[in-house]
Amino acid sequence: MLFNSLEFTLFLPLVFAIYWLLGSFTLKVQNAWIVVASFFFYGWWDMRFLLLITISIATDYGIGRALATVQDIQKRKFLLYLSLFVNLGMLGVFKYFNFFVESFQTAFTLMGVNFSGPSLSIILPVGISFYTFQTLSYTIDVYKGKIPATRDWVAFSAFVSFFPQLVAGPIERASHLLPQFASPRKFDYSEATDGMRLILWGFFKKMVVADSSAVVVNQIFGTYEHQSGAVLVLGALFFSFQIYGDFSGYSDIAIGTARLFGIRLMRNFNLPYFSRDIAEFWRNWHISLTTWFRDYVYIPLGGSRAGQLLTARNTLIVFLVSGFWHGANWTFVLWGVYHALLFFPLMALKLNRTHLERNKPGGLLASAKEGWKMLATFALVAVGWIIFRSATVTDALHYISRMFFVSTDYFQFSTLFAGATALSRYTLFFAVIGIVILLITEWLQMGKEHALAIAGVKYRGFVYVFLLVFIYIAKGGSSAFIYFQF
Amino acid sequence: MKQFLIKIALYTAIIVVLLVALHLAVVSGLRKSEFGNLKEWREILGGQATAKLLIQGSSRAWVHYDTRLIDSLMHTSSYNAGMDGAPFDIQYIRWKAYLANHQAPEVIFQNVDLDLLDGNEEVFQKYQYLAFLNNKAFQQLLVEHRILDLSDRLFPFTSFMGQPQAIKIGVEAFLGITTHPSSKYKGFAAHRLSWDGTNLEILRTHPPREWVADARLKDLFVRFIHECKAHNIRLVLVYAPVHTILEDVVVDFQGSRDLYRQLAEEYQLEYYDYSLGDLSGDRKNFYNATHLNAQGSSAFTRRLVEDVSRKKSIDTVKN
Repeated sequence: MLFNSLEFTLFLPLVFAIYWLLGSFTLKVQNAWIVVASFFFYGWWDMRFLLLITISIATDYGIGRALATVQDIQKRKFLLYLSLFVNLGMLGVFKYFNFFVESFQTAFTLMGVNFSGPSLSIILPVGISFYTFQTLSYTIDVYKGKIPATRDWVAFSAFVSFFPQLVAGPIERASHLLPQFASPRKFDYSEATDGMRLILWGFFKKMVVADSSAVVVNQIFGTYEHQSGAVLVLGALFFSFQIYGDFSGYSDIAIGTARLFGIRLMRNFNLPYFSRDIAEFWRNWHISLTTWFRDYVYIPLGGSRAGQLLTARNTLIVFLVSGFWHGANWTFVLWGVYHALLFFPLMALKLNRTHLERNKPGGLLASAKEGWKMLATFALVAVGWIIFRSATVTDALHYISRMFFVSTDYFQFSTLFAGATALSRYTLFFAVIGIVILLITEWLQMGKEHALAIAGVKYRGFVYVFLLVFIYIAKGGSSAFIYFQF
Repeated sequence: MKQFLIKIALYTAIIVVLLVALHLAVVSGLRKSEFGNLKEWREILGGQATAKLLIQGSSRAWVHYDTRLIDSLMHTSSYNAGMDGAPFDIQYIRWKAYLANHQAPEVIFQNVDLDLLDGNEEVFQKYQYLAFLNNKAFQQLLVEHRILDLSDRLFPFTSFMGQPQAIKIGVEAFLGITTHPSSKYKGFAAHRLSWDGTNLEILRTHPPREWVADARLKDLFVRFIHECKAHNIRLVLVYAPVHTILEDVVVDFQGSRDLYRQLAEEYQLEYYDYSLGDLSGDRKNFYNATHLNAQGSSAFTRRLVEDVSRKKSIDTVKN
């Protein structure tokens, strides 16, 4: 079920109430309730999805237990590969099978060979990319001896299926989340109220910023051959905020919801659009995924320890895999390559670790130099989003070339508002206002735990009421979260 | 925990009170407003749309069928119940609402077109229905035809969520700022505009739109035909002119014309197909590919009245 749905509005208070009532019994019963609620939440999409997550849980719990008792290196390796095979195999079949078949078909056709491969008519299970990576992190860490294998299958099931972060992250590490399910939780007023603030801010980002921007973006990307260059620039800008509002909004709601249950999830976004270079952007965008790739792909490949050429190779592999993780389309691969190419100069000049602190530069406004860096970085990222958003590589390249082609009608905006598919001025207005509120709030709150961390601030109640009423009036058109498709 | 629950309850109460107040103000305002289709809904639900000849359809009905001309040429009283963005289930709701508050008309001009049987789930301008839920029979119709969902019924004060235009119109009328006076005459208003080809260029380069008749709407349409017969209403199906360019951008445009002809033959109805007639080739008659402007609607209405008066029910009407 979606967070922004009537069902979730009824589901959450019920689960919350029973959870804390059960807390006075045993921890195991409380965790079991989490599992029941999470399975109900996930099964709401499609009952068949439950079979896959059960396989993932059973496989990795069993492999974890086996790794705890097996000392032989070859057998341990076999167990690890088994976990990789099952989890990545499920991912491969459900997400990438048809893509590979179609790609092979295209390749053979180009070579003049007739090849017709099988295709699977299967639905992509929501969240599979997230929970398979989460369980893999467990088996890999157990294999490496970083964490002990758990004996508590209920806690393990809760760790894998925990509903706030099940379908779109953050991708948690067992070392961070599993101990929380193994320890008693006590209701904490300040945690719970801060959780509610995060939920509110997440809904604002999703329902106002993302959903309003989505209407603008769909209009522009759907008719890009007929839009002027300036409109295409707007399309890129609005999509940048759509995907940020959507994904970080979901993460905020997930993290806030988890806090209601006394569980702390990792921060997934740290104001990425205020980054001063691409490296800083990638340290602050989808942090749970980028650190996962760093720890389980980049470092095992040798990281940055084996010379510049190999470091570049490892970086390229990570960006390629990261792009590919997002979806079975060459646009995501190209997007990954694009970011790798932006990253290489920083690496070569050893500038990729320049901006490690995420605090606001001194003063209310950034300096001209910092401001310019942020704008330039944002512009480069926005161009990348065009590739990400486009249906095909050809569409992406065509869009970008039209965007940079300056003609006499470059600043023609009337096509957006004409005809039966005209954009509503209300939608555009609220998308812009939402983005402005988002940027100002996040800028002023930089350095705080989250944008709405205003506990103890006078008249904060007015802020909550304002945001709620604003969401009510300005709620945009679409509903589903973008990252569910990954 | 107690403090947390009290706080949640407090904020919930504040928000609910604010939203209920806003909801009441908006509904009150919308009932007075003449924006969009609101005036016509008020007239229909209030029994103020008495007519011997009723025109039904979507936006193509209310901009094409000139009620002044029909009244004067046919010496009758007509009412145009056409409404924007209305596939047949919405038109059927309007028809039932009309029947519940008026005597049945003698004649119905039912505009048929590509969108009549389009099973689009999205409800266009939902606020126009929310304004009149005080009418229980009307509310029941909306529930039957899935216009109202569960949250509308459980939490009515959330119904205007994400509808800033409706909130603005409602509050403006509530505060007496403006009711957006309508220029329509018995539901009709001519559009004094010239050709706007923008939308057409977009349609051209997209995958051609495929015309498909939704089975549920088709069944409903047949039900409507039977109801007209039961009330002894002369039901006249009319396919108003569209620009000839639509043949290029709509897959199986001919299919839509054939379906209505088949229904007319099966249920022995008059059918006037002007879709690709002599008005269709001239952009001077249209402001976009599917809507006639003032010049076009005047010519079309005169032609229709002439043909209907002579009961000249044939296919595409030529010179």
